[in-house]
Amino acid sequence: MSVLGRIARCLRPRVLGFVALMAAAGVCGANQGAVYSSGNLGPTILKAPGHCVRPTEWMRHNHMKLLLEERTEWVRQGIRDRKDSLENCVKCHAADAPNGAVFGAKQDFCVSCHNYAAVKITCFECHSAKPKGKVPAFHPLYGPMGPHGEGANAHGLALMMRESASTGRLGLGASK
Amino acid sequence: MSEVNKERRQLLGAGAAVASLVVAPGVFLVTAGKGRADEEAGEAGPQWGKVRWGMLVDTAKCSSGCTQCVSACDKENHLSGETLPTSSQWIRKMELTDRETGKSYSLPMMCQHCDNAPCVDVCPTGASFKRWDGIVSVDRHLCIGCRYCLMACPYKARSFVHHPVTDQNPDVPRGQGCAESCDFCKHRIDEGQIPACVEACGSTGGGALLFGDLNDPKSEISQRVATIATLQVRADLGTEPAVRYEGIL
Ligand code: SF4
Ligand code: SF4
Repeated sequence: MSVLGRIARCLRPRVLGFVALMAAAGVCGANQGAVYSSGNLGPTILKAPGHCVRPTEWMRHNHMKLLLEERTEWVRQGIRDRKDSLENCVKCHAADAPNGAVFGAKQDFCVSCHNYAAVKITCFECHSAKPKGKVPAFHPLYGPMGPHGEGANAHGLALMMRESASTGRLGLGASK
Repeated sequence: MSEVNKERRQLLGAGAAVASLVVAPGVFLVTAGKGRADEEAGEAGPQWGKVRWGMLVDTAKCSSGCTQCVSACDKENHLSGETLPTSSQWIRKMELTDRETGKSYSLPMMCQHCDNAPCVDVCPTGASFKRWDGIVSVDRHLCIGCRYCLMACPYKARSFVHHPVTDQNPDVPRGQGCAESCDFCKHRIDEGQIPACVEACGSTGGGALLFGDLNDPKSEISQRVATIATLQVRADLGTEPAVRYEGIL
C-alpha cells in the first residue's frame, strides 16, 4: 500500500459520511420512481431537459467525486473538453429553472437536495449559478453598482453575513 | 482508470523515476517537477514546457491616457474596476519618469508569469501554481486566503478578494477569501483566443501588446525578443518573467 493509498484510507470516513447523506436523499427520491420528486417527505428536484452524463442514481451518490476530478483537470491542466464539467451541469440544470439558475432560490436544482440533506455547498460563492450567455440578474441585496454602490442594501447585506457567520448556513432566505 | 488513480499513478511514477527520498518508512519526499506530464493526454494535451505563453509590451506604442487593457480585463473577468486598496486589480497602468532626463513612459503592469514564481514557492497549500504552459494562477479550491503570495510577489500583482462577489463570468469563477491575479485569460487561451487586454489594445488601443508562445521559435514574439532589446522587470531577482518590455532600457 502506497503512501497515497494510506492517505486515501484516512480520508475515507469523511467521504463515506458525505455519501451516506447523499444516499439518504437518493433513497427518498428513488421511492417515487422516474419523477424526480419524493412527495411530502423528500426534496422536490427539478427535472433537467436531456440526458445526464451518468445515470441518475450514480450521480446522486457520486457527483461530488466527479466534480472533484473534473475541477482538478480543468483548473490545473486546462483540459476543458470534459462533458461532465460544472459549467455543463449548470447549463442543463438551470435550463428549465424559473430563475434560470441552479442556486439561489429554494427550488433550484442544487439547493433543493442540499438543503434537504443539510449539506452546505460553497460552489456558487465563486462559480456562476447561471449558464454562459444569459444576462445574470443582480443579487437582490446589491445594486447594479456592486455591494457598496448606489442602490445596495448595506443593512440587509450585513444582516445576511452576520446570519451566515453565526449559523454557518448560506443566506438562502435573502434571495426571496 | 479513474482520474484519481491516474493522478496517483503519475505521482508514484514521478517519485520512482525522478527522485524519491525516503524520510521514514512509507514517507517519501517526491520531486514532481518538469516531466510530470499527463502521459495519457498525448501530443495535443498538456506537456510540461512545450508551450510558454509570454507577452511583449512596446512602451513606445502605449500612451499615458489609454486604459483600454485595464477596462477589457475588468469586463472579461467581471472585476469592479475600482482602485480602492481593497479592490482586485489584475492589470494596472503605470507612469514612470526618468528623473535625470525627464522622459516619461506609460506601461501596463500585471502578473509577470514568472518561471521561478515566488508566489508559488511560498504558498503553503499548493493553491498558487504554475501550469504546464507557464501560466501562473491560483487554484481557488485550495486557497486559504493566507495572503503569503501577496507579500512574496515582487510585482504587487496579486490581489485579495475582500468582499463577496456576485455576477461572475461563468468562465472565470472568483470569490471572497481567495488570492487572485492575471492568469493571461487562460479560459480564452484554452479556447484558442488571445487575452482580452491584448485584443483590446490591438483594436482600440495603441497595439502595444504582443502575445505568443516564447517556446516556439517561429512565433512573432520569439522572433521579436530574439532581435530587439527587451527587458524583464527586476530581472536581478531571477524570477524569469514571461512578460517583457521594450523601449524602457
Ligand atoms: S508576478 Fe507575482 S503573482 Fe505573477 S508569477 Fe510572479 S510572483 Fe507570482
Ligand atoms: S493566499 Fe492562497 S494562493 Fe496565496 S499563498 Fe495563501 S493559500 Fe496560496
